[in-house]
Amino acid sequence: MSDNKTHFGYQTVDSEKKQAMVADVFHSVAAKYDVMNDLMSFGIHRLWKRITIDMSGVRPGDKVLDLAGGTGDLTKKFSKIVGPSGGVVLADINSSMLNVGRDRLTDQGYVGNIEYVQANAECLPFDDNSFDVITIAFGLRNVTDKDKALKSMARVLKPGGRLLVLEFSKPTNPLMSKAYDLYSFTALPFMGKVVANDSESYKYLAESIRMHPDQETLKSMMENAGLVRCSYHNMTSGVVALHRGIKP
Amino acid sequence: MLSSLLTQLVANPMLAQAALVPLETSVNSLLRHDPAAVRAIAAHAGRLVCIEVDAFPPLYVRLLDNGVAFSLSNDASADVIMRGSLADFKALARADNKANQLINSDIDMDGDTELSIALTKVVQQLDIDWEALIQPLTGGLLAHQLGKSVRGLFRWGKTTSATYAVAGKDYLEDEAQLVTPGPLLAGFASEVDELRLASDRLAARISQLEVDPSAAEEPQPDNQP
Repeated sequence: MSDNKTHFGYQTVDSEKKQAMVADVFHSVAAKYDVMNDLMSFGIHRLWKRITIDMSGVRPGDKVLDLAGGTGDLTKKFSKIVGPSGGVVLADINSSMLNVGRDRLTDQGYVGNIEYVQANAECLPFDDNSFDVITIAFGLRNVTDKDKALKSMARVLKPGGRLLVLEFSKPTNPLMSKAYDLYSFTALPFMGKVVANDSESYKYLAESIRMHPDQETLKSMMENAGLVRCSYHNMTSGVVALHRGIKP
Repeated sequence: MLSSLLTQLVANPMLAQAALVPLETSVNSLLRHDPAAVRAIAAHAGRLVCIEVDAFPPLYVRLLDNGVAFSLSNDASADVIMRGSLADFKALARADNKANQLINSDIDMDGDTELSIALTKVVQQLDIDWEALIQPLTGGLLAHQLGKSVRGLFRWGKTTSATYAVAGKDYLEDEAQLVTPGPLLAGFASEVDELRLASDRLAARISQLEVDPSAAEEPQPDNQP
């Protein structure tokens, strides 16, 4: 891939155009995002996120950045744990997703220790060494320059802080891999068409997952970004992997 | 068997978390019917308690402002670890004064012991409004009648089990004579203790005589053997 080209699903596009194309996808799906997540994953995404929280080691008083936090699933849980002495920043590049998340959390009474920031993961608008924990759940694959984003996250992490990347990955079981391919290229666009009236966005979802780095590659990328003790944990036979790294 | 099953569960966080969801949902549903308990737990929101029972994997309990969250693994360090045998925790669950039982039991507490005592008090004072719990399903009138019946059943169960415990003890001690009655056993133990002390004194006296035979001529106190 040349310097000014990148993937958008299976398409090769100009790097500067990907951000706008991804934005269009999420503007389109924002309203039905949570319903579709539950439908597509049969509700399992809640367990994936729950395990991410358990493995984050977050404690009362911590400062947490929920990057690409979208509709605020993780922010909600983190907000309860860090309490009034801590804080959570829900950041997303997409204003529609951020609006849905902010409205939803505020309506449910999650206020006081949550800030909302529209931010690009590649150049985070925070001081160095600001956060105890950073999570990015199902967001990294949509970032144009992943290496730059990981370096930016490492920069704003406090020394000893941990980064958790929850993302679709490569299934470890060949049988599961075949079933997963069949499901994601037929059922997902169909569900997208029926529920969100948008099959193209969900076709992009399936394609972007295939183009995302596998477990070992992402681990190396995190190490290159300056994180140490990097490891990953496969979930649902590797359909999803949780990567962890610590800032030295 | 159960322990190995749980160990396998811990090895797979997905399964472990899925297995704990029904338990967590049930506990939180019950807690919602005791607002005082929820408020007491909310005062410790965000804190993490680890319960280690024998060879079972540890159970982490995250306290939240609206209930609790369970997990079998957690990377955060627990605010307090309660470690003990299954028998210790059973005794704690049965005790009328749980805070006292916790302090006097063999359960080890590492970390913030006040937190574990506070939680024990929450469990002690738990007062679930059962009628409110079943009212949506049965309606108010039937819920009240059912609640009355259930409370009566609990009272009857408590009285009956206490009566059967006394009757069983009497049968084993007096009728079948399979078990020595408590007072007799205590008397026997006391005599054994006295005999042991007397034999120790005698042994000490003999040792002294072997070292210095002239000590045998010294007057002995009346109560010495």
